[in-house]
Amino acid sequence: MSGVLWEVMAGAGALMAWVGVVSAVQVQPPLAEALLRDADRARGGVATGITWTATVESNEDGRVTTRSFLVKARGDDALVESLAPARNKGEILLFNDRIIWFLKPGLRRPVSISARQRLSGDASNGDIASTNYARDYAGIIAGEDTVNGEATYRLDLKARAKNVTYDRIRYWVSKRQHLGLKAEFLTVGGDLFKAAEFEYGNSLKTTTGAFPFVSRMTIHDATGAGTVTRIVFDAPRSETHPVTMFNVNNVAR
Amino acid sequence: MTGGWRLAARNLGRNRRRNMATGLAVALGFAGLALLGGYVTHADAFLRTNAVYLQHTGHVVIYNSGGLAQAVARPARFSLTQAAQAAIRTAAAGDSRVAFSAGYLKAMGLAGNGCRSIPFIALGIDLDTQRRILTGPEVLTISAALARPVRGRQLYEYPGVEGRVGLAAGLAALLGKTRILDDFAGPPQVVPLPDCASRETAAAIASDANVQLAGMTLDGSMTATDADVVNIFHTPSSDTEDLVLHTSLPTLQRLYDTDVVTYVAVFLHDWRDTAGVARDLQAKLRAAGVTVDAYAFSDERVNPYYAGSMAFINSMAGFIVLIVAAVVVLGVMNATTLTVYERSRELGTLRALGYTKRQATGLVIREVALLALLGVSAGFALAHAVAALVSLAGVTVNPPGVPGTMRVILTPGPEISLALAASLALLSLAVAWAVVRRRLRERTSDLLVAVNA
Amino acid sequence: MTMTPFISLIDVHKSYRLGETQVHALRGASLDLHRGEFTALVGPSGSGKSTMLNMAGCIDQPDRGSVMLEGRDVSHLSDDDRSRLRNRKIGFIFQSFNLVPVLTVYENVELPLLIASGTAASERHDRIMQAIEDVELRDFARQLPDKLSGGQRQRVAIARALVTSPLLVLADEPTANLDSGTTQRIVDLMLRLNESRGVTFFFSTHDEKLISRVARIVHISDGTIVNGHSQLAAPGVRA
Repeated sequence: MSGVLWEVMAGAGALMAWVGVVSAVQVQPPLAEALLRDADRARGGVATGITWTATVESNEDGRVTTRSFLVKARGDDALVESLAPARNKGEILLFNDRIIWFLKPGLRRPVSISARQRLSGDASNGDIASTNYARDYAGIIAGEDTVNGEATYRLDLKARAKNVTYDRIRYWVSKRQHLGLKAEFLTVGGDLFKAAEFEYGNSLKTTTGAFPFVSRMTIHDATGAGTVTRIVFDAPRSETHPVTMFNVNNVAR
Repeated sequence: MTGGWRLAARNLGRNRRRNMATGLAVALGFAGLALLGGYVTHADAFLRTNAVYLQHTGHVVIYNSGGLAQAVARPARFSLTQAAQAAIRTAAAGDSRVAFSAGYLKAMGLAGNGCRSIPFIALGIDLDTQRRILTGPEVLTISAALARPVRGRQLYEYPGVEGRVGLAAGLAALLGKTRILDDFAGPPQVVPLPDCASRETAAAIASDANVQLAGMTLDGSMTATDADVVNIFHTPSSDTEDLVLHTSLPTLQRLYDTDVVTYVAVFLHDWRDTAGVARDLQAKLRAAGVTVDAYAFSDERVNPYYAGSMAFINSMAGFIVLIVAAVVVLGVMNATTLTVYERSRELGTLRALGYTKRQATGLVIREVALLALLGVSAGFALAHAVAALVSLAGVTVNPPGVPGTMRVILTPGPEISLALAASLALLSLAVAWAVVRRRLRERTSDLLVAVNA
Repeated sequence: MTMTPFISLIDVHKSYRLGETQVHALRGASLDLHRGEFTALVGPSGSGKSTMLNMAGCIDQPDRGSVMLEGRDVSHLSDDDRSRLRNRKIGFIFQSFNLVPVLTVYENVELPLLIASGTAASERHDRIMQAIEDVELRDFARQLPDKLSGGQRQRVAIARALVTSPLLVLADEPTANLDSGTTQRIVDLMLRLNESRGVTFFFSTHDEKLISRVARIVHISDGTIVNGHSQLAAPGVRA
C-alpha cells in the first residue's frame, strides 16, 4: 500500500475515532483493518522511511548467538544490513514486494527467498518483524483478552494470498493504543508454529506526530529445538529513503 | 541297500508318460523358481548398490544418538563433532570386516539462479571416498549406468574447481540450468541477468553454469556461496530428482561454517556382515562414551525405498514360490499315489520277501529321488538357457521410483539353485514318503491280493 | 521218536474286517509241520487257507493263539523282526508269480538277497546262479519276465523263494495259473527241491494233480483244521 494512501487512511481512521468519542451514542469496536494498520505503523510501517538498529539474540539448545543489523525501511520494503559479527558484516537481507533477497559481498547473484522458504533463522525473524498484517491478511475480531494486564482485541487473520508465509495468525491488539502485543503463527493444520510478543518502549517522531514504536520482540519457536529469539530495536528515527534503495538490481551492483 | 537304485531307475521307465509329465513339472517348477530367484537376487544387488554406494549410506550408517530423525533440522545438537568422527573412524578401522568409512554432511538450503531459488538437500561428500566408490567393482558391475552423470564427469574429476556442485536432473531443470562447466573453455563466466520478469532472463540463466547455494549456519545466520555446476546426474530414486545436490564435503562445511558431519557411512567388504558390524560398532562406541546409533542399510528408516522395494519383491516372490512349489509337490504326490496303488501287489510281495516297511519305502523314495534329480537337472539347464537368452537380448526394465533402467539378469546363483533343488527334492521325497507309508500301513496280506490299477 | 515240530500253529484265531462285515478266517486252528514235509493245505474257498499260510509265513499275526517256529513264539514279534525272519527263513511262491516286470530273471531272484545282511557280492552271485540253475533257467537269466512263459515265470518265483536257503517255503495255489503240463513240471521241481534240500513245503491248492503227489494233506474248513495231524497219502505215492 502506498505511503500517501496509508496516511490518508490513518487520518480517516483517526477522524472516525474522534467522531465516535464525541458521539452520545454507544462506542462501536473499531474495524479489524484499522487495528492492523495502526499496529503495523508501530513496527515500521512508515511511508517515507525509518531507520533503526536491531540486535538479535538467539538461544537454541543452550547455544546463544548475537547479531546486529542496521534496518532501513520504507513502507513495505526494508533493507537489513548485517553489522556484527565480523564474518557476517556486509550481508544484506532485502525485503521487497513480498520477496526477501539475500546478498553477500562477493556473491555473484542474489538469492531469493520466497514466502514458504523463510520459516527459520534470520529470514524468519525478519519476516515476523516486518510482517505487513494489513496488506497481507484479512482479519476479524474474534474476541477480547487481557495480555500482560492490558485489554486487547483478539483477531483471527487469514492470508489474502498464497505467497504469504503464514496461512493463519492469531493477533492480540491493545484496545487503548492499537498496538500488537502478541501474535501466534499457525501451520496449515492450525497448530502453533511460532509465537511472538512485542513491547513498545521506543517513541518515533514523524511529521504527523510521535507514536509508540516497538522496542523488543520475543519470538518462540514452538517446534523442534524450541529456540527463543529476542530482537531489541534501538534508536528508531525518521529518515527519507529513496525507492531505488530497495531495488535488488541496484543493491546487487 | 544295493540294487535299490537300479530298481528305481528301471521303474522310472514303467510309466514313461506319467514320469515324463511329472519330471517336466519338476523341471519347469525348478526353472521358474530359479529364474525368479535370479531376478530377486540381482534386483536386490541393484537396489542395494544404489542404496549403499550411490546414495552414500554405506552398509552401516552411524548417527549421533537421535540424529537420524533430527540431525538435518537441528544440526547444532545432533551432528557428529570432530571428536566423535575420530572415534568412529578408529573403531571402524579396527574391524577387519570394514573396508573404509567416511563422513557426510547433509544439509538443506536454497539453490538460486539469480531470480528464483529452489530448496535442495545437499550431500557433502569426501571426494576420495567418492572415487573409491565409483571405481569399485560393485558399482561398475551392477550400477554403472546410474552412477555415471547424465552430463559432465564425477566431482572428483574437477580438482581445480573449488565450488563444484552436481545437480540432480530435476533440480537442474527447475533452476533452468542446462549447461555445465565443461561446456565452457576457460574460467567460469557469469552472465549478468536482466530483470527477472524479462523474457530474456531464462536464456541468460541457461547460458552459464553458475548457481548460488544459500542456507543457515548452525547459529542461525543466513549464508550463501557461489557454485559451478560440473555435472547433472540422476538420483537412485525419482523422489529426490528435484532436490538433491552433491558437492565436496569441505565446500559444504565452508558454506555452513562448520566442521561437523551429519553421519559416518561405513562400507564393508561383504554386505552380509552388516548386522554384526552395526551391532558391534554401536556397542564399542557407546562403551567408549560416544553416544551413537548405528543402522544397517536395510533399515527402513535409513533406506525406506530399498527396504520397501525388497519387502514387496520378497513377499511377491515368496507367494509365487509357495504356489509353484505346491503345484510341483502336488504333481509328485499325484504321480506317486498312482504308482504306489498300481504296485500294491508288488509292494506286498516285497514285504513278504522280508522287506521292512522302511526298506520297501526306500525303493519308492529312490525312484522319486531319481525323478526329482532328473527334473531339477533339466530345470537347471532350462533356467540357464533362458537366463542366457534374456542376457543376450539385453532386456532392461524401469524399476518404479528409479529414474534409470535396470538390466534384467535372471541367472540364478549357485546358492539359490542348490537351495531350490534341495527344497523341491525334499518336499517331493516327503510327500512320496507319506504316500508310501500310508499304503504300507495296510496289511501285507491285503496288499498281496490288491487289484492293480 | 517224536520229532519237535518245525512250525506249530496253536489255537490260532484271526478275524478281518471286510467292509461292514467281520470275517472270522481262523477259529482256533492248530497245526504242526515238521522239517522236510511236503504238505498240501486243502479246503473250499473261504475256508481260511490263505490266512493259514499268512500265519505260518509270519505275514500276519494271530488275534489269539500262537505261532511257534523252531520252538520260538513268533506270534508277537515286531513288524521288522517278522520281516527279517521271513527274509532269512521263509520263502514265498504266489499264484500270479508276483515278479517285478522291470527286473530280469537274475534280478528278480536277487531281490531277497539285496536286504540280507552279511552277504558278499560274490556269494550273492553264486547263490543266485545256483537257484537259477536249480530251476533250469540258466539260459534265461538276462530275460525280462514278459519274455517268459507261465511255467518259466513260476520257476523264477521258485528260485526267488529258495535263493535265501529258507527252511520253509509257502505257496498259495502255485499251479493255479498253469496248464497241466507245466503244472506237472512245477510239481516235479518242487518235489525235487524238497528232497534235495530238505526244505519244508506248505502250500494251498485245489489241484488234484498236486494233491495226489503230496506226502501229507491238511484239510481246513470254516477256519479250523479238520485234519491237522500227519496223514500220509496212499503208500508209494511220492514225487
